[in-house]
Amino acid sequence: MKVLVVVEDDQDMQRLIELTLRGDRRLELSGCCATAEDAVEAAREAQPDLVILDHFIDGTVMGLQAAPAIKAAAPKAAVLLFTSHDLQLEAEREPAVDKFLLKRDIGQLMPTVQELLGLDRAA
Amino acid sequence: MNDANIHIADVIRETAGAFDAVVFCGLALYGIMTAMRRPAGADRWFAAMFASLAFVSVVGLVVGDGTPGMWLGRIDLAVLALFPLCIYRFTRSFTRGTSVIDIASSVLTVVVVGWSLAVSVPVDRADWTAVTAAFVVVFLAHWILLCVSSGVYFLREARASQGVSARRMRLFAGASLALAFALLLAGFGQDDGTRAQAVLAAIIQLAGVVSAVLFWLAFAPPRALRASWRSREWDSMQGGVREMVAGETMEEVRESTMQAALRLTGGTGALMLDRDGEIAAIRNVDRAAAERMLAESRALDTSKHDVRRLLASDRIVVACASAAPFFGSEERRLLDTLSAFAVLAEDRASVLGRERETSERLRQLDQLKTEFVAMVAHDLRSPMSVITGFADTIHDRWTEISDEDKLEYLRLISRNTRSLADFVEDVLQVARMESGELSYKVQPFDARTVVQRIVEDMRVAHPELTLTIDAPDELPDALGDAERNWQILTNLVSNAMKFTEGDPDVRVRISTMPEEHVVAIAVRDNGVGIADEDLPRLFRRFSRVGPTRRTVAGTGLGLYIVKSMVEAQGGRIWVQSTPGEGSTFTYTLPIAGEEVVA
Repeated sequence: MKVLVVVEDDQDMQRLIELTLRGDRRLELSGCCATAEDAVEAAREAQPDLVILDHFIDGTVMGLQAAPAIKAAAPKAAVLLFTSHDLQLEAEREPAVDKFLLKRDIGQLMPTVQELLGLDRAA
Repeated sequence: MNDANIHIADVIRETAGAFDAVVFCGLALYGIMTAMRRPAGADRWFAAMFASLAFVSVVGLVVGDGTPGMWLGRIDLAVLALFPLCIYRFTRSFTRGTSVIDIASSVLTVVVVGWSLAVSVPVDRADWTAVTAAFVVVFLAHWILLCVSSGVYFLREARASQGVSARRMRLFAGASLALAFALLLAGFGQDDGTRAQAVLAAIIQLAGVVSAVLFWLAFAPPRALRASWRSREWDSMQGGVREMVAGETMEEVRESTMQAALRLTGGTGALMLDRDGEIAAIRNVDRAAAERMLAESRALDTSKHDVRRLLASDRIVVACASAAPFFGSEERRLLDTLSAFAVLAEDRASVLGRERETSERLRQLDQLKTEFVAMVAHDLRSPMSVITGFADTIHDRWTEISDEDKLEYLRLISRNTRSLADFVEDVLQVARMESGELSYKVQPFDARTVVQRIVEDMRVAHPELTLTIDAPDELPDALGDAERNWQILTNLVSNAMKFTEGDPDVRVRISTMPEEHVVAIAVRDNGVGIADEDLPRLFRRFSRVGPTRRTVAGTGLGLYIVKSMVEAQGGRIWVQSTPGEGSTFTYTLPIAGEEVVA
């Protein structure tokens, strides 16, 4: 089982991500949170394999800025920046971010998650 | 001593005497012309001083080796006795008030002049009586005391001053001391035809020449000499003007103007005035001293050398040594020039300042616009992603998901579509407001009726809401647009509901604030409240606050729209809140018929 943490402040979007991830039984959603502080805490506790991170989240620290702390709290976790904003360039410059995906391409969320976790898509 | 040497000494004496006569006559003429143009104390005494010396030196020249007639001799002596009083009073004209010495010197002069007219001083000392000797002693003491005190005064003034005026004051002090020295020697001399007497007479005349030259340089230095004295100040002033013109802010311009003024005049402190004649900047003086300087400079009549301790121009006032203005008329003209440059430099700095402000405002507007576009894009994309995501999920996994889940997803799609529509509506509303296209039909209306309408609307849509009205029976009409107030109140009540966990209990209280001539409408809830640090940005665009920022539906524009609408109707809005207990939003509108004209 691969453990995931979702950092998303929009409840409807949280629900949608949860629903999308339910499509692969090898994935286990450890928790959802809405602020950078909670995300770092959740990453430290759960030591997930993947963190799906929104950029515009509650609190004063944005997702991209929180990525290094999350990575430090859970070094083996991959970080997927999943946001409505086109932050492709910024994400590439941030070593703590492994992959960037726009929310409008939510159809690509599952394949991207599987690729980051090294999972076979067919399963 | 042989005759040839005596002859040389006589030639020197006669030539020097002629020179003195020419210089003193020239200065007397110059003084009289100045005094006629500017009838001020210092100018009058200056003219009188050299008129007396001119008279005495001309008499000396005309009589030559011979002895003047009795009355001419006495008048000559009396006029000579007037000189010390003139030089002393000239000196005193730069200080205020009258001292005991002033009165004593005047009395002494009257005595000496009267005595000069009454007494006859024989050429041969052997013929002097005790009275004659006493007269000579008093005469010399009177002369030397007053001349030396003037010389010392100007030496002190020169030390407190700089530049050309200090140099001229030193020359004046030197001249009066040289004259005192000459007279002292004359007191010891005796016309006995000896070599010693001839040499002494020549030395006296030479001291007179030195004094005449120094007076001439002090009062009417040739233009070329003044230019060479001023070359250092001129260079530093040019540097000051360069700095002043290059100044990009008013403060820089004023600072370099005052520096240049101080370098130019050797003053001890300076102040600059703005266009209205008020103090704009000060240097080397405190505020109270600057206020005194300003009051004094306003009382000055600069046409009369009545400029004690101050050199003033339109925009610059400089504090300097008392007599500096008399010896620094050119400084004042240069200060005028400096003032003119300062006005130009201030105009330039003011234009630059406005340009900087405009460009900063444009930059801020541009940044606001960029942020606005980014926020709008984000708030459009988020619900769109949710809508397309759920729609795709239903489409792609139609057979996998239960009907119950499908209904739930459709509900989420519908909610996000509505919030998208609300958001677009709010953005358009803001755009209309900011471009001034939103109209207000301002007229007297009953606030209670508007609130009752909202109660009816909400009762149907939100049965869980308790909404009560608290208003006095006698309520004056408010002045505003009833429809916009319905929007404002709907927005505030909806907000109160959104931020309340459990069943919301909202109270709308309408009251009057007679002292402010306004109707106040307060919406109080029992919601989660707002943290103190969030209050200042509550009414800004996109200011969703609190930990539930995204968990509560909202555009982040509602309170901004509310505030803009309240202010457009001449009211104001504020909020009081306690986290965990609830918030009260209160806004005011003018009472119809009691509008306060701003």
